[in-house]
Amino acid sequence: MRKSVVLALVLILTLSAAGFAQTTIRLWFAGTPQALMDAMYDEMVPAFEAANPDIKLEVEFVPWSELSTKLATSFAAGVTPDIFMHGQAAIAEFVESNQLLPLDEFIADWPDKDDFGATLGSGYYKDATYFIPVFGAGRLLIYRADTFKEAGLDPDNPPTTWDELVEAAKALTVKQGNRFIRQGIDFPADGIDLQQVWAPFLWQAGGAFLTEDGTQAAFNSPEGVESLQFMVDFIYTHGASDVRTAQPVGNVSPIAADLVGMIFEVPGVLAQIKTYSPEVYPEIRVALPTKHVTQDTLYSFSGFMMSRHTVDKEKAWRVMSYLLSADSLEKINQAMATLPPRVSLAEAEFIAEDPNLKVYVEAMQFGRGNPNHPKWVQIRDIVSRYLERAMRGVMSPQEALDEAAKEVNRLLAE
Amino acid sequence: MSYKRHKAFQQVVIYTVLIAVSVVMGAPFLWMVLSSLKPNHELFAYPPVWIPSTLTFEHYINAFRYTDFSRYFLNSFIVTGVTVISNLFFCSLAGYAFARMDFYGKNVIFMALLGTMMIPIHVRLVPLFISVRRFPLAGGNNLFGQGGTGLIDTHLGLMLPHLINIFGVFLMRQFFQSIPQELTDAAKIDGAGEFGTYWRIFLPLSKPALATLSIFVFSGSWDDFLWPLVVTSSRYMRTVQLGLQIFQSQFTVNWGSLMAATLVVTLPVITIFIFGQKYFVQGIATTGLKG
Amino acid sequence: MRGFLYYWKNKGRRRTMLTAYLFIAPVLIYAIAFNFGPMFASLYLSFTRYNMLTPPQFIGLANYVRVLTDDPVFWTSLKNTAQYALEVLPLNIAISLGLALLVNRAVRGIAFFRAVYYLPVVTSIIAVSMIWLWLYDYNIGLINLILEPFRIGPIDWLGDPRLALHSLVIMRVWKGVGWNMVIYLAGLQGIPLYLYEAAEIDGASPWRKFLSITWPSLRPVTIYILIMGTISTFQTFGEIYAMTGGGPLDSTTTVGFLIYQRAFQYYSMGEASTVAFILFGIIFTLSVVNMKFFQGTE
Repeated sequence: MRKSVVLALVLILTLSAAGFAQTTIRLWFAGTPQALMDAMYDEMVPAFEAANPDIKLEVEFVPWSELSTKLATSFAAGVTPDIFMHGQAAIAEFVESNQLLPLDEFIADWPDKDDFGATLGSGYYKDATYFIPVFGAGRLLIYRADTFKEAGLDPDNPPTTWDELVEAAKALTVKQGNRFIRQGIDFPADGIDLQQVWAPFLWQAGGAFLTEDGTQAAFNSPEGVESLQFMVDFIYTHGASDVRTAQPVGNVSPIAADLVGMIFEVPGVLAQIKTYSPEVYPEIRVALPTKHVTQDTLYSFSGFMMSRHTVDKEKAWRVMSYLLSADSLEKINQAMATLPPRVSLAEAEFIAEDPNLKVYVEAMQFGRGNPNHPKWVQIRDIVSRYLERAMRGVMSPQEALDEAAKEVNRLLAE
Repeated sequence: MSYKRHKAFQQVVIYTVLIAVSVVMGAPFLWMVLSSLKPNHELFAYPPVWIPSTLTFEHYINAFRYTDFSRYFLNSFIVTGVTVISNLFFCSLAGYAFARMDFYGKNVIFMALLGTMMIPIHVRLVPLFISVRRFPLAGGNNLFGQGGTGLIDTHLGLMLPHLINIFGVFLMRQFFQSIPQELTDAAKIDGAGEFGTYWRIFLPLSKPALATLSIFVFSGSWDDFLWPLVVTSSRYMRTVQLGLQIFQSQFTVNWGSLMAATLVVTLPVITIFIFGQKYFVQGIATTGLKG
Repeated sequence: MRGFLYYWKNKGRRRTMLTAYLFIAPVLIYAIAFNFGPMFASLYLSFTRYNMLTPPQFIGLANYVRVLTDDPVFWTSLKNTAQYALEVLPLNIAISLGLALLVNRAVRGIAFFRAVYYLPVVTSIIAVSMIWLWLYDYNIGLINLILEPFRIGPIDWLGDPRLALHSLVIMRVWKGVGWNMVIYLAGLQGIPLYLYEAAEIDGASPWRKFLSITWPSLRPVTIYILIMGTISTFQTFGEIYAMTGGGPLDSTTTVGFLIYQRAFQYYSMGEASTVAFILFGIIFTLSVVNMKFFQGTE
């Protein structure tokens, strides 16, 4: 009698211990948006843990600016989180270094996969899917209905071709002597931003960054030169853009401050204008990409990857699929003012109520990403350093692109 | 009379200069204070609004409502407190040896130590992080540093790179070098040993230097951002500097709250300075030779 | 330098030496683990190709050859860094010594003034960078606003490739002088008063007293400030990262920024370590020269 009680107790204890043996799954989220951090810690994580008592979910938000540093050190010391986030351009390097787990086996029986549609392709590299998008962004032309009218332009018919873009920029320009009161169109000064604004023009002209096999630079083609010349001409030929890039006035973006007539921006900027210049927001409009040879534009996604070193990949997948559910993605994208990668979320409330965001979603059909190349970050930096030289008039577009191509080819030959 | 007038004139000149310099050095800081008390729409008015039309504490409330700043403060205080004490003792002891004692290899060892400060943190970061991860017998590690996560995400891990600062050794060495030889000789005649001379003569004479060292170590450790970022992995181990990050998103800065939080985070360092600088009031002659 | 036996054979000298080793032992042991260790690891990495994701591959001197012979950005960054240091250091020393002399007096409210001058030092570089981004702002910056009545500007302080580095110098001096003021102040406190009393009896002018007592007495402190300033300005990173990102036209790309970029943006830790050790060679040489030059006969 006694014995059996003890035995039963032991049995119960063992079973419950096994049942409650929690596995910790660590996840790093890129960016530190306050609204999302609150939702994550107060609602999403507790809800997940309640439904999955065998998993303890530790989510850490890492500032974008420090993401690479923190990831690299944790890789080097072998303490990577089970799931982490990065932009799609980072996949190639991680895959080549054998750090990621292919996700195809999970995706195969994942009912949600069709809802992602083409966006799942953003995580495809060398015959496998390593990344599932969480949020996306693209740069589109932003303009203002009031200034368009003032300049005699039709706010309902924004420029659709390169020529119309030039005409609109000229019409919007206001100068006092040599000083710009309002630039017709504004381009970023340097860095990633400049590369991201040039990329659509390069593609629209029919050019490409790299050759198909990814072994050579292709951007110094006649199409590449044409597209860069097109941008440079705004400054030096049409007098419709200042060589000095407009800067935000505190948190008021240049277009809200009426320092520029048109500017290429990501949807996050809409949220910024809504918050800091609410009186201007009703005038803000977004245009679809212009068409030259193609109508392509740059869209890129950030998403989740699973570490090759994760101990329990089934549980890691449960976490991942929870955060990728339509419900979670709506919360995440709403909090960050980004574009959800699911088809069904194109109708999400926060998008449906804002016609500008709808244009971003609509334009996604013209979207393509930067090349998936392990050395992309370096290639991009070389390109943008020379784009800057052309925009500042230090080099001609042809010279700048040839020099950049020389450096890129040297890098690719290593 | 004319001497008095001369003295008064001198005072006026000195205060004028003191105040003029204060304006240059303090204006940006004053701007922070005022910004933190301004309603949002006045933050970037042009021309700038210096005095807010209404004082608001909303930025302070916002800054501390959502984030666990009390926990961050606790972590920062633990790390910084231990760091300061460790540095005060070990740096001054070694600084004394380098300044006042003669031994084989002194200059070579000293230059080698100094050399380690000439390698930027970004290339030392990975080896340092690995050594913290491989720290033996900690965080589930065995004697050879295998098996666990070492000191990652612990207070000791946070303070490790700050516990002894070579700049501090250098600082104490330079100060000890400037103390006149007569004082040491007097102590030696009294029969004090090396440690006695260091402890009873040099340390009491070096209050300004020790205060400087404390201020230096305190702000260095308090203001560090990169190492805490890399070495912590849970929210509960974060330090105040990491807490400041959340006011900046990709496109905008929550300026008012950032200013408010920055001011509060800066207060302890200012307090330490004000507390420390009162040791800068008396020269050596009064404490040493005459004392 | 005297041989080991010189110390060992004499009983008194041996005792002193062993005591000294005991005094520096904690620092040495700590340094071996956390200073020399990472330093030598990084030296090794400079001879490898290492992306932190896969184990390092030894490639001999290839990184050094590449950086020194085939890397124009490295030379640009070195030139920028040297110019930056040459502007920051003298300005910093002159102003901080001036401030120390100014606040080294027991007048009412002096603690307040000292604290105000020290404020920039303790304010985080993130906050300082943002305040100065606003001060330097082309449209609404306070500096351009002040210059406007004089019909100067508006000036594009950070956007003009000819100006950007100098603008950063001004900010760095503003942020840094308070710290060196404190060190000079502590140094001034260490000068025995009887030296001044003796000079006053001789009827020396204030300038004379400065030249023959203050300045020579502060020599160890000045050496400290100079060497430490060289070490830190040559590694400048924070404000570049926060304010200019190395631009415009690479005019503010410093070696410290380049190292960060190669290490954590390009994942080329081997090359970053190489650049770091070339930088080390330069700073170390400068420090030895500083010591020898200023220490004189010591």
